[in-house]
Order: sequence, then structure tokens, then C-alpha cells
Amino acid sequence: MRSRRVRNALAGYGLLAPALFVFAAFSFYPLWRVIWLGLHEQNRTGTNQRWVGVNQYTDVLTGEEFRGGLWITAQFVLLTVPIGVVIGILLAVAANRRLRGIKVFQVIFSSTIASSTAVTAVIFFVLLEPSIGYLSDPWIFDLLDPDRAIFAVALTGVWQNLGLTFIITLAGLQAVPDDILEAARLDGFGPIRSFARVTLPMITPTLLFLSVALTVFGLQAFAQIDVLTGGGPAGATETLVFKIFNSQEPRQLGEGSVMSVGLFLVTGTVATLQFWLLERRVHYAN
Amino acid sequence: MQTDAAPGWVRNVAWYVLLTGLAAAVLFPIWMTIVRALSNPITWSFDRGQPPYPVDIEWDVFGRAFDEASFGRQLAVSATVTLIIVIGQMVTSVLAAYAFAFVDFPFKRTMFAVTMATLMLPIEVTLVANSRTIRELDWTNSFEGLTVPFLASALGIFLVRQGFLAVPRDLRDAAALDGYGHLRFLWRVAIPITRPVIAAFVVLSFLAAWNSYLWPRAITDDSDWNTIQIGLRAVANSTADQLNVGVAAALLAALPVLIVLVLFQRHIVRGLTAGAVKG
Amino acid sequence: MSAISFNGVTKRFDDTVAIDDLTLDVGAGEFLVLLGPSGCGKSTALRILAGLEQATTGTISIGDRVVNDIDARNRDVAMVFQSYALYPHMTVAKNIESPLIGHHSEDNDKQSRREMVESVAARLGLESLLDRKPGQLSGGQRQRVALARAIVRRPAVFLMDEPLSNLDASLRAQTRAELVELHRSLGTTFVYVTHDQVEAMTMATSIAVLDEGRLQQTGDPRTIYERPANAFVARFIGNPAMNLTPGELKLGADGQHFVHTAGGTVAVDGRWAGLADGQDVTVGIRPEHLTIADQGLPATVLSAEWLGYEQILNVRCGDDLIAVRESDGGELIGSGTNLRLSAHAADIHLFDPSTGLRLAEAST
Repeated sequence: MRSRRVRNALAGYGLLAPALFVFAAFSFYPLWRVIWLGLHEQNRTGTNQRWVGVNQYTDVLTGEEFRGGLWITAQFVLLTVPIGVVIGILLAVAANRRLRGIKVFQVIFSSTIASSTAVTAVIFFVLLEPSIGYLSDPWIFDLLDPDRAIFAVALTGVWQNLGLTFIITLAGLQAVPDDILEAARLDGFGPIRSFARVTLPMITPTLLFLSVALTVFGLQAFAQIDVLTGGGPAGATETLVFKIFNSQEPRQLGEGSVMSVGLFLVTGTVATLQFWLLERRVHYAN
Repeated sequence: MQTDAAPGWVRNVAWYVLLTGLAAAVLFPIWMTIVRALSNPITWSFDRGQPPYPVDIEWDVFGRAFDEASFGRQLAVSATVTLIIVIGQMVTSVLAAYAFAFVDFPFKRTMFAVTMATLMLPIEVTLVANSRTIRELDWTNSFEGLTVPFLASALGIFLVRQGFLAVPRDLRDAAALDGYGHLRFLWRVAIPITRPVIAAFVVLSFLAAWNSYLWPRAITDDSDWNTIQIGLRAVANSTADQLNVGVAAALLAALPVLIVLVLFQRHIVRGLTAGAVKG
Repeated sequence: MSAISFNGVTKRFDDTVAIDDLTLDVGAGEFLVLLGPSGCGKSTALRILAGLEQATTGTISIGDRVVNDIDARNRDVAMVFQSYALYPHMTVAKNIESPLIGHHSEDNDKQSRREMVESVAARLGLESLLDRKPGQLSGGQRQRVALARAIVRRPAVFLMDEPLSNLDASLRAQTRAELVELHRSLGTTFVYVTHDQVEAMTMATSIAVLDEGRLQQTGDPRTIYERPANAFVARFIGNPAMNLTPGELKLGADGQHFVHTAGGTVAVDGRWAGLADGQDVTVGIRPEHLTIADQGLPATVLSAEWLGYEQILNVRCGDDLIAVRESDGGELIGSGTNLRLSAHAADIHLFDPSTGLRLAEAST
């Protein structure tokens, strides 16, 4: 009996060891280290550090850099997530029907998932870049205007998310049992009422998952800014991760670390809040 | 009970029209990118009107991407890094998921919670410290630096564990009576039965690794070590007459992913919806 | 030395006691059936024997070894699962070969394994199916593959967990006969779990009846049928179940003994002479032992089920509903018919009303 337990423990932990080692070294240790670095200030060459304590946290988290980055990131999220979810629903509803060749449309609508963030940035560079872009009048997607550049960046986000949102929402729609829809039809519900009163409530778990996931991705926006705007014009598109990325040099390491922790807290809070608030309106079948 | 407002075929045509319009809107950016890549840059830029179709097509632009934009070298880096990461994640996830699903060891639930907790620690949060670690290990501009931090995946462990938990208990019992130990059971029964789930994860893992940007950007500064994605950064800085080459490189960068998407569509859907859709 | 022994085995799951102090010996070469209703612990007992569960207390022995601490792989047992548990991704041949691969030894090379698989497959009529996968087989074929996999290694003990329950009725009868024949030809000890008393009665050399985790009675089928140890066993065996009704024992000084029930008075024989006069008893009589006669207990037919070779009558006799099996042929007896029931004293069973145990019989 005893030896069986020992054998099981050895087997279990032995099998876990590789993954645990990676997590320990590159998830948990850095978390601790980031918190620790946030309590210190580095000298220019990174060879020495001195303790500054929690003050650095309060200073940075209430400071302009962090608040500015947070605001820009928030704009990005607010612009990409609701619109993205709605467009995803529209596309999925449109493509969820038995028509000849519907699969072609489904592949087209999913296709943006093949485009990485960097590739998407190049694609919209082609469209929006002031001097050589196709759209000579970019309307509100003006990369040169500090007040509007964020719209251009958000556009890339919305477009890129289309594929993912479409695939997931379509799967959610297809999981709605046929017999329930047939029952609604016999009850006299037309297509719109049927959608609003039957289908939509039944895909709310999917939509909840989608909006939390897209929000978390949005909070991490970096590549499209790095490629498309470089943070400009005049820092108007510097998201939090962009700022964090640019504070790896020893002198800014303390600040960057605090911002990293800030990002962690913001993501956790926003995701939890969103889940909590929206979950009440989610209908779980049985 | 149902009154048709319009005859069936009219409704169908209306849907086709709508779908085509939506498809055109979605494809428009890609189309313009193709136009830009294929067109002769001088003709297209300065030709008044910049038509929405290719002009003076130069098919050799893709070849030039390999030579002039070092696409070949970047492709090698991306492919190697992706391969290592995908294999690494597959192996570590399968082993760990096996432990969680089939082995009874102390503190299993705690360890699972700990593993899932790493989902809250994406690379964006730990970047600053991890890049420091890589510098201290002298792993900048190296395969180790690019791959080791990603050799395990909490999502992978989660998905494969779900798959393993779905193996009927009777089969485990039968295998036990047949004399199978853990390794044999894993290799002969558990993995073959959960092949679809593992395949779904491999596809997701491939997508994430191939498209990864932030980490390579953080720890490589030698252009010889650029992945395809990092190489695209240069596109924004290229001159108007070189732009088509960079844009062609972007299209090439998306090509493997597009192929994978088309071939493994079902796997992607299964993997993505594992958490989102019930049933 | 028995082939299998349970000694004071108890199994607890959290708060529920699945098996309560089970002590049972099985002789070598026996066909033991663990019989009982759902939840009685029979499957749990089987799984403990296999090593798939651990007993909370008590020991299990196979042969002369106590096997509590021995892994399922090394107990030299094979099992046929209710669901067959065939590996869906392996061919029939590979499924059958599986225990040989898991238990490889020196004389176990590819060639000899192949031969063993083919000989077992031939024995069970599976030769033409060796390259198919379980999904392509019918229920009956899958069951035979499960059997083949269990047999191929010639273990010391075969365990079977309700192997016939997923087959349709006609196949079940045929398979019962095949299993009996298999047991005879192999001579191995079989331990078979079922809730179906017909399977138990037709196949077993020894039956162990369980209810709520407790062993009710062990014995060969005839003993279980003719001398059930308590009211539970009495009603579990036999279809329709034995009729039970309360009564009062009246011992006559002249050797004539009776039991008074609400439906009338029945004569009983001297087996019960050792009991107390006036004692409250539960009277049991099987439906097949009641005959329609000119004299006897008055009863009125409520409904009748005509099966061709016999009728099952539901009659009201006194306060009770009684079942009667009437196999004399003839017309369906209509409801409302009044008739008289009689039975031989030798077919009467008496049980204690509070414990349900069979009352002590004096030796005649």
C-alpha cells in the first residue's frame, strides 16, 4: 500500500516535472522578480540597484506614463471588443445557413485568423499609410493625427479579430439544438424574434467567453503599434505593453516592472469584473 | 403557419448578395495587399488613381523577398523555432495531462490550480524579468532564448487533460488487467484515442508560435536572428519603390498559416471552442 | 484450499458501506455467480477481486496468496466488462493480443503470440473478423472478442461483469449455453456477476446472493431455490416471486400442524414441530407450487396473463394478492372467477416475520 503511494507520487511528479520547470522558471520566478524589481531603482548600467520601496509603485501607477498608457490601451479595447463581437455575430448569423457554397463564405470570414498581428499591420499599412497608402483620404483612420491614430490601430484589431470571433460564434450558433428552433417556429416566432428570444440567449456563454478573451488580448496590444505607428504620432498610440517593452533598459527597469505589475492587476480586475457583470445575463442551458 | 414574404429563391439571392458584400469587405484589405505586392511599385504609386487592381505585374517579387528581404533566413529561423516549440509543448503537455488524468499523486488539485494560474501570466506581464533572465543566461539571439520559455503550455495541459478524462474508465481497467503500465497505456491507448484533441492543440500551438512577435522582438537584436514576423517591421520603413517586396514578404508570412487553416479547419474549431461552447 | 477467498471484506465509499463483512470461499473450477439487485455490492466485490478497487478491511486470496497488495496486473485474473471495454482504435486481433503484450515473458515472442490469438479466435468463431475494428462489429461479436481477450492468457480466474446484459434476448440464451460449455472445457474458476436470476440458476455451480452489501446465502442453485435462507432470497429467486403472507403457526398434538392466514388455513408438515405454538410467522409459497383444486383456500381471480404454455393468475386471497402459475393448459381463466388453491405441505416455507430468516426446521 505504502509503496504504491510512493510510486504514484514519483510517477505523477516525474511526468509534471518538465512543464513545472518551465512554468517555475518563466512564469512564477519572473512574476516574483518583476514585483521585486518594481521595488528597486537600477543604475544606468544595471550593475547596481537600490531599494525604493512601495513608493515607486504608488508613484508610477498614479503617474502620467502609466495612466496615459492605460487610457490608450482602454481606448483600444473599447473600440475593438464590442464592435468585434457584434460584427462577429453578424457574420456568423449570415453564414449559418444551408446555401450552396456557404463553406466558401465561411472560409473567407475565418481567413483573418491566418493573419498575424504583424502581417495585419502591414496590410493596413498598405491601406492607411499617409504618403503611400491606398486610401488617400483615410477619414478617421488617420495615422498622422494624434487624436485619431488610435482609430486606425483599432481598425487593424477589429479586422484581425474577425476570423476568431466568427469561428467561435459560428460554433456557438451551430450548437443551438435544431429542435428548439423548430419549436420556436411552430410557436409562431419569425426569424428575427426567434433570433432575439431563442438563439441569442443560448449563445450568451459563447459571447461571454469571446468578450473576455478579446478584452484580455486587447489589453496586450503591442505588435500592431510597433509595426504600424511605432507608438506615434507623438506617443498617441503607446499602449501599456508598448511602454513596458520600451522600459527594459536598466534605468527604466523599475518603472517598467511596476507597469508590468499594473498590467497584471488591470487584466485580472477587468477580466473578473467583466465575467462577473456579464455572467448574470448569461443563460446556461440546463 | 409560416408566411413567406418572398419566394424562396429571391430570399436566397438576397442572402448571396449580402454574403458577397460582407466577403468583399473582409477581403478588401488582403486584396489591396496583393495588388500592392504584385504591382510594379513605380507604376502603381505614381500612376494617378492607384487602381484597385494590379498593374505591371511582377511575379518575381516573391523571389526577391527571399533574396533582398532575407526572407529565406527568416523563414529558417521561424520554422526552426516553431518546430521546437510545437514539439516541446506537445510532449510536456501530454505528459503533464497524463499525470493529472490518470495518476493519483498528492496535492494533485493544487498543482493543477498552480498550472492553470500561469494562464494569468502571459509574456506581456513577465517580459521585463524574463528578458533580463535571458540576458543573464546569454541566450539573446539564440534558439534557446527563443524557445525554452515556451516549451510548456497551460492551455495544452488543459485541453489534453480534457481529452484524457474522456477515455472511458472501462478501458483503463481493461488495460490494467491486460498488464499495461503507465507508459504502455499512454502510448497504446490514451494517445491514439485522444488524437483529435492533441491535433487541435498542435494546430493552436503552431499558430501561436509562428505568429509570435513580442518575445522575439525583445530578445533578438541581430537581424540574422529575425523571425518572419520581426522581419515585417522593416516594411514600414521601406521606401516607396521597395515596398512591394516587403508586402510580398508579408503575404508569404501568412501563407503557411493559411494552408494550415484550410487543411485543419476542423481541428482549429475544436481547439478554440473547447472552452467556449458546451457540447 | 479454495481458488478464491473473501475474508471479512468491507468496502466503504465515504459514508456508504458498499460491502459489509463479506466472507466467501470459491472452490477451484467452480462457476460462482454473484447475484443480487442493483447496488447490492456484487460489482464492487468483483472489482475488489480484480484489484481495480481496494478493500477497506479484510483480505482477498487467490489460490494460496493474499492479494490485497498485489497490483491488478499481477493477480493472474482476466475480466469481461459489461461494456466489453474493447480498444476502439485497435483491430480485433490486436485487442485479443493485448494481454499477451502487457504480460510478456520469455516464451512470448511475436510468432507464439500470433498463434495464441488465432487459436482463441478459432475457438470463438472470430477468425474472419480479426482485421476489423470493434466499431464494425455487432454486439454479439464484440462480446466474443471480449471473451477471447480474457481467455487468451489462460488466467487462473475469469471475472465477468454482467456480460450478457447488452445482448438481445435470443442471443442471451444462446450465449448462456456457450459460456457453460466454455467453463466446462476450460475448467477455470469463473466468477460471474449478474442481477438476472435466470442466468444464475442456469449457469452457476454455486450462487452467492447479496443484498445491500451483505451476503444473504451461498449454495448451489437447487439449495437456493428449495431452501432459501431468508425472505429476500426467497423472493429474489423465482419468477413471479414467491408469495409471502403473515400467519400464525398452530401445532397440533396429533402431528397435524397448520398455519392460519387471512386467506385461510394451510396444512404444514412436521419440519416446524420444534417451533412455538401460536408463533407469528411469514408463510411463503411459490406461484408454481399452488394448484387449482376442488378444496383449499378460496380466491378470486383479478387478472390473468396467458403465455401459451402457462398462465399467470393474479388472485385475491384474503388480504393478499397472490400469483399463481397454472400450466395445465386450457382456456384463459377470466377475471372474477372464483377458485380454490391448494399446495403440498412440503412446498411451504416459514420465515420469521421480523428478521426474515428461515425458521429452524427440526430434523426429520
